[in-house]
Amino acid sequence: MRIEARNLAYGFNNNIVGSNIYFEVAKGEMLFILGPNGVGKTTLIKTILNLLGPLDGDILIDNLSISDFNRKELGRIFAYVPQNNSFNFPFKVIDMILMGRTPYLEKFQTPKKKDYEIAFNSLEILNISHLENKPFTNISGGEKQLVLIARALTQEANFLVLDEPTSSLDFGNEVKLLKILEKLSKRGMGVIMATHNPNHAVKKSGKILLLKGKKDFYFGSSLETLTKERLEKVYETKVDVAFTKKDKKVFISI
Amino acid sequence: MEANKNFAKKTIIGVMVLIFLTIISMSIGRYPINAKDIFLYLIGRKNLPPEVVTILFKVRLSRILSALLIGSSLALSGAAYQGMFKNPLVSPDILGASTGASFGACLGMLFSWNIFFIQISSFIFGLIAVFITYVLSERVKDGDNILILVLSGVMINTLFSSFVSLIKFIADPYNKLPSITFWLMGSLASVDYKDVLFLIIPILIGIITICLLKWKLNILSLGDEEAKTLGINTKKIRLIAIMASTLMTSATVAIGGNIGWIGLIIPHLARAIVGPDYRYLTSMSIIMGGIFLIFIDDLARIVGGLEIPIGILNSIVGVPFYIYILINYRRDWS
Repeated sequence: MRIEARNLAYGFNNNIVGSNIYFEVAKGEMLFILGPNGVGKTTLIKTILNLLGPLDGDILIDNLSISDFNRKELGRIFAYVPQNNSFNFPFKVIDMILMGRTPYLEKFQTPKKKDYEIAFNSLEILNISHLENKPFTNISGGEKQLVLIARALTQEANFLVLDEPTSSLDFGNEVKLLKILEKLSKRGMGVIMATHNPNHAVKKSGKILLLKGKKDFYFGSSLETLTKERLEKVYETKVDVAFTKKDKKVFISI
Repeated sequence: MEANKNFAKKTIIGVMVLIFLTIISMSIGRYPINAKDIFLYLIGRKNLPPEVVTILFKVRLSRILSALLIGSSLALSGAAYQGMFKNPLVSPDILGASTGASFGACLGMLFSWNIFFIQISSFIFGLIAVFITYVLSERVKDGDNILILVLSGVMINTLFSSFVSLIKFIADPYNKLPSITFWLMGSLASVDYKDVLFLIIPILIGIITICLLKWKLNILSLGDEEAKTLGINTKKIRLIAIMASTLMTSATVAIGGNIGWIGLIIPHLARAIVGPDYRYLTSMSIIMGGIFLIFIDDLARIVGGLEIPIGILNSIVGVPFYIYILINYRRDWS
């Protein structure tokens, strides 16, 4: 399965935030959406999920317009991990994760044994089985993020769509999360992730959409597209490049 | 699985309390009848004089049944609203259903329509009020849908309560005003089996609809965007749930007048017992709503020797409770 944005203009209330955007991403690939604050990363993510309609151009799913898909179908294509979850009701973690099965349930159906098994499996993949019966409102920010990813896995969608998933995580959890995402993409899942940290995007197999302003953007493979010069232009700050002992490229602002 | 067993146990206890309370309530009244005798009669171990049977089943049981139906449906509507609006502090009144229904009934009383048309009018205006609220909020483009819906509800509530005041203002102060005022306070003193029959159809439709949607209500309580990405047509489901709740709320207003607070209080108590999951919360709200209103109606009959309107009793119990929830509602209840 392949997602492609063609001449896409996105925004809300008819205010165009970005236009003429092009990118494409297939299952098993990782696409990083990178850019400074206010450039509309979240808006673009919501457009990809069809929570906001495109203002011009289109998003194609295997060459069909996204508007041809209903919510249930989209729920099987994209699994969304929101940036912050302001949530009032203390659902148990396992129930929260079970909700990922909704796109597969018939009209008035509730989750069955098979759905529970898939949910338990996701808990195991993310190593959070101990959280199973805790109330979602009572766990830490990092744990919440993992639960939401477990829910997305339970959704068995083709693409995982994450909006700045590391923004509330400490250093250790941030690294852990990125490793999990890489593992998932190697197992064949597509990952679309908005981030503000260029170093997240330095992945051999990754693609990057570097947003600069209304019509200015760079799209391509991570290693080729992410250059010192472009980052300096986009973030309007001096950038230095360093290499770790394992020959991994790291960007540092100076 | 573990949760299921636990839930079954709690449901059975709830139903038993309900049956027990029903028998106790049948024994209460101007002509006291021994609760034990009623129980023995019900299981066929004892005969009662025919006039006692008439009091029990013609007079008292119809009142208890309407309290059960009204309490259950108001509690269930409240539970549904709190999930749909992602807010534990809302109840069915917020979209204007009860105020609209009150206006419809007052209008009927003003023109001295017979009771059947008063009920129909109450019902229709309840639906109209919610319909206007809904259309109004749809006309506002984008923005926070739920906030706009609630704000529209506030406006429509204000509008219809002004209409009610207008009717009170022009009503004949010796004849009609007292009956309108008393009815608005909420009371089950004059219900009979005709009322039970009138209640039962819309309430069953409403209860069945909401119970069928219980899993989707879980998803809606995550908020609009997340619910959509989980494959839910939020607009459609919300519209169906609002219509079902309005159907129930208007029917109850038509029979019992304004009976507030149940929709707010009971879902909280039910949530404290079975957690926020609508797979369990729906049935627990139904059971507890029934228990609560039968109990309050008993109080209305016993306390003070004259019929205190249950609307008033409910508010006296409800307000302190509301304050308690307001202060503590983020606490973990599961």
